[in-house]
Amino acid sequence: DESYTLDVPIDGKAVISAKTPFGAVRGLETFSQLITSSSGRKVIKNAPVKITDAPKFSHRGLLLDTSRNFYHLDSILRTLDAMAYNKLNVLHWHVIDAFSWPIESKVHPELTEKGAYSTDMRYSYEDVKKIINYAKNRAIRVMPEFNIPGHAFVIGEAHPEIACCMNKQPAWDKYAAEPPSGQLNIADPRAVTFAFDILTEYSRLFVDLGFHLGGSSLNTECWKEDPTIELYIRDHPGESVDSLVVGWHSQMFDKLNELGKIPYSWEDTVLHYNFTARNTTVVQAWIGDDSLSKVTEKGYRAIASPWNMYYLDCGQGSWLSNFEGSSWCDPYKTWQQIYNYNPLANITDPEKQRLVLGGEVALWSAMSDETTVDRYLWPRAAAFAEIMWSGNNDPHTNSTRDLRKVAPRLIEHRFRMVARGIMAHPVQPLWCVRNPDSC
Amino acid sequence: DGSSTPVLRSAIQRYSDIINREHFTAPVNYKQGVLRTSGTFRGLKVAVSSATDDLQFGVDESYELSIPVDGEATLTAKTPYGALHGLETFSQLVSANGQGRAIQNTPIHIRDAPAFPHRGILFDTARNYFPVRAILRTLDAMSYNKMNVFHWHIVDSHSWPIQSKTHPELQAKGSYGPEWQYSYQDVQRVIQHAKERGIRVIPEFDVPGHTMAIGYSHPELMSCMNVLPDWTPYAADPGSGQLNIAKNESIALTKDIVGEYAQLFPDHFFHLGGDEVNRNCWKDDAYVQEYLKQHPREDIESLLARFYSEVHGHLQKQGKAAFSWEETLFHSTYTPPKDTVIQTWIDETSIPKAVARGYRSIASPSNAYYLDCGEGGWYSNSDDDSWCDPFKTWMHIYNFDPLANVTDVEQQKLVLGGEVCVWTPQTDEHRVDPKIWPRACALAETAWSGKKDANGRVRTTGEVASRLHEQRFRMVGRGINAEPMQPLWCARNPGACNL
Repeated sequence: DESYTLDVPIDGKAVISAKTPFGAVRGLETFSQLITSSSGRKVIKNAPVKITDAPKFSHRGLLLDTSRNFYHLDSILRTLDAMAYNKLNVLHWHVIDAFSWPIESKVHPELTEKGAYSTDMRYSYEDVKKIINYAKNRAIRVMPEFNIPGHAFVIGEAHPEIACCMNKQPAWDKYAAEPPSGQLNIADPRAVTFAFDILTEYSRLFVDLGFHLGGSSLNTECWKEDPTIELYIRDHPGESVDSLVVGWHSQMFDKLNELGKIPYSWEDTVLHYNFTARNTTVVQAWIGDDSLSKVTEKGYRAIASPWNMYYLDCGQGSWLSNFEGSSWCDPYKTWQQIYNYNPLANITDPEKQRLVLGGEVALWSAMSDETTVDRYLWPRAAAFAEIMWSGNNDPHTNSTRDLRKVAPRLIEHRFRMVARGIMAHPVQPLWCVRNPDSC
Repeated sequence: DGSSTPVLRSAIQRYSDIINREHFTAPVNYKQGVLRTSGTFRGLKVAVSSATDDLQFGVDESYELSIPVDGEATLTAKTPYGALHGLETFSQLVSANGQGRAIQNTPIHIRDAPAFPHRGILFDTARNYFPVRAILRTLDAMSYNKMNVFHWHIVDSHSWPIQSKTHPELQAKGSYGPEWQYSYQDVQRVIQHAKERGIRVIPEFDVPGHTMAIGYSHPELMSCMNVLPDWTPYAADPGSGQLNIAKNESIALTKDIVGEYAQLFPDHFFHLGGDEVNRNCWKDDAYVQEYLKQHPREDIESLLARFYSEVHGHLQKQGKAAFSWEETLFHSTYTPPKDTVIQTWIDETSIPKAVARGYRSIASPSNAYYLDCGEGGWYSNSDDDSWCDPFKTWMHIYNFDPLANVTDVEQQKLVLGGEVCVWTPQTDEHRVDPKIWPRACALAETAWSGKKDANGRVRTTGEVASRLHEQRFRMVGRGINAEPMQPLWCARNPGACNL
C-alpha cells in the first residue's frame, strides 16, 4: 500500500499519514516538492494543502541493462534516487545478457571470470545487497532478470558444451537478433541443470518475490542447425524446436515456483509458443500495440513496455559499425509521445484492465553507460512516472491532460532533479521555460 | 629547441601532464598483457622554427614526428600549432604497459598536415546557457581531436548572454540573468584557452533575423516581436523577432555591435549570421509598410540588401572578413564581398553552388552535421519529430563528403572544411559532452585526413569503428563524457558487430 495523506496547515505542524512506511516515503517526496525558495527563505505556497494520494498502477518500473555496457555502483544508486524523486517503484535489473556477465556467482564463479568485462566491472554480492537495500529505503523493489535460454553467448564462453551457434560471423543475423549469437542447448540436460543452478542461486540473493526469466527473441535457426538438437529431434519424433522450447519453459517456471518466486517473462513465451504458465505469472508485453490485450486475454497479469513508446534507448541510429541507417526501434521517443500514450488504450474490458499491473520504460545499453544514463532516462521517465502514478486523464475535463499544462510541471521537475544531482537533459530553451505557452 | 613561445611552452607542459597522468589501454587490447619492450624512450625534443604565436586562418599546422626504437624522439614543426598537433599525436601513441607505459610499433615516422584548414564546432550559448567551464572542457576535447575552430554562436533570439560595454542594456535585459552571462573576462579566458590549443574563436552575431533578445532592451527597433499564439508565419522557431531594417537606428545598433565585438575577438573572421530571414515579419510591420509607401522605389529586398551592405561594409572597415550563412548569398539580392566565407547548411547542393559562384565555403549540412537532431520536437504541445530528425550517427557523419558534387579542382580548393553544429534548445552543460562526443570525432578525422586512405581508397566505417572506440575511451579517461558507441564487447571484437 503506497497511499498517503498529507496535510499542511497555514501555520503549525504538517502531518503525513500512511498505512505503510512506503506510503510515507511517497508522501515525503511530495512534501519535499512543495517547498520552494523565495528570496533566500524556504516557503510552502498555497497553504493549507490537503492531499490524498495513491498510485493508479502498482508496478511502475524502469529496466536497466547492465550487460551491454557496465554501470558502476554509484550510477545505479543515483538512478534509484532519481526513481524515488518520481515515485517509481520497480528496478527491473536486466543484469546479464549475451555481452557480459557482471554479477558475482558463488556457484559458477567461472561465469564472472570469463564473462565480466573486467575485474573492475563487476557486481559483487555486497554490491547487489547494497543496491537492494538502498532501493528498499526508497520503496523500490529490485527485480532481477536472467534472460535464458536466448542471449547466452557469454554463458557459452564459460560453458561451450551447453551452447549453440556461438558467435556466428559474418551472418550472425541468421542466428540472433544482435551479434554475438549464442543460445543454451535446450535439448541438453546439462543446460537445464545449469539453469536451475542460476535460478536457485539468484532466487536467494534477490529477495523480491518477482523473478524475470527473460525469454525474448529466441532464434529457431540457431537450434535447428545444431547437430545435437537435430539428432534429438530425429530420435524423438513428434518433437520440434518449438516443443523443446515449451519443455524448457515448463521446467524453468516450475523450478521458480518451487523456489517460491513469481515468474515474470517477456510476451514471446506465452504468445509465440504453445506454452501455458500458471496465472500468477506476470507477462511483459513489448512487441505490438495489441500485445497487452493478447496477454490479458489469456488471463495473465501484464506489464506494458511497448518498444514504440517506452524504449528510451531508441533514436540513436544503428550501432552496427558498417551501417549508417536507423536502428530497428527508431525514432527517439519524446516525452510528449510518452505522456500522450495510454497503455490501456486497446483494452476495453475492465476485468482485463485490472490485470495490467503497470508498465516499464527500458534503457537498453548498447549505446549507453554511466556517462549517459541520466540524460537517457530523465526527464522522459518522469513523464512516464506521472502516467503510472496518476494516469494522463484530467478528471476535470475527462480528457487527456493538455501538454501545454504538463510542460511547465515537467520542466520544473527537471530543474529540481538537476539541483538534486541528476543530469536530466533540458527540454527547451530556458526562454521557453520562463515564458510558458510561448513555445 | 628552436624558438620558444608562450603557446609552445604551455603545450609542452600540458602534454607532459596528460602523458604522465594517462594509463590507457585501448579496448581492443584488453587481453594484451605486458609487452616486452626493445628500447627505452629518452624524451621528446620539440623544434619549432617560427618565433610567433600568431593564430589566424591558414596558419601552418603541419608537423613531423620521429620515434626511434630506442632513444630520443623528435617533433619538428613550422609553427607552435603544428607542434601542438604533433604533441597530441604523440600522446595517443603512448599506452599502458603493465605498471609502465610503452610506444608500440617503433620506429615511427609521421609527416602530417590537415586536408582542410577549417575543422570546427558551432556552439550555441543562446538557447541555453553554458558556464565557462563547459566551454573550456569542450575546447580541451576539440584539441584531443585536432579541431581548430570554435564557432561561438553566442547570441540568438532567446538570450543575449555576452557583456556589451557600448550597450549594456543588451545583456541587462536580454540575458537569462546575472549568473547567465559572459563578461569580457570570460570571453578573453575562452579565447586564451582556445589559442593555447590551436583553436580560433569565430564569434557569430546573427543579424537581422534571430534577434528577439535585442528587442528586450530595444523594442522600438523590432518587427514581429514575440508574436503569439501563432509565431509560425514570422519565424522558424518560437520567439519571433527581427531587427526592423527600415529603421536607420537598427543599422546603427548593429554597427555598434559589430564594431565592439570585432575588437574583443582577435580572429580575422567575424560571422554575421543571416540565416532564416523571414519576409512576412516586415511585410506585416506597420512602420515598414508606411516606409515603403513613402519610398515606392524601395522594397523589402532592397532594404535587406542595404542592411547587409552597411553591416558588411562596417565589418570591412574593422579590417575583418565575414562568414555568412548561405541565405545571404542565395536568398537575398545582396552580393557579399568576395572574401566572405559562406556557411552552407540547407542541403547537398549548397556547397557546389557556393563554390561555383567563386566563394570560399564551409560545410555544415543539417542532414549530416547537425548534432542536435534526433530528439524529437521541443514544442510543448506537439509530439512530432523535430524538423531535422533523425539522429545523425557517427557513421553518417563519417560518410559525408563535402567535396561530393564538386568536380572542378579549383572549386574544390574553395571548400575550406566543415563544422558540426551543437544547437542547444535541448542541451545544457549537463548533457553537452555525450551530445558532441564521439560523433564530432568523425568530422575531425575526415576534415584532418580526408576520406581516402594512403592507397586512395575511401575508408569504411566498419574499419574505422575500432579506432573511434579507442578515441572515445581515451577521451573519457581525460574527463570528457563521450557517449558509448556500442556494447563494450563490440569494441573488443572488431568486425563482429557489422551488418
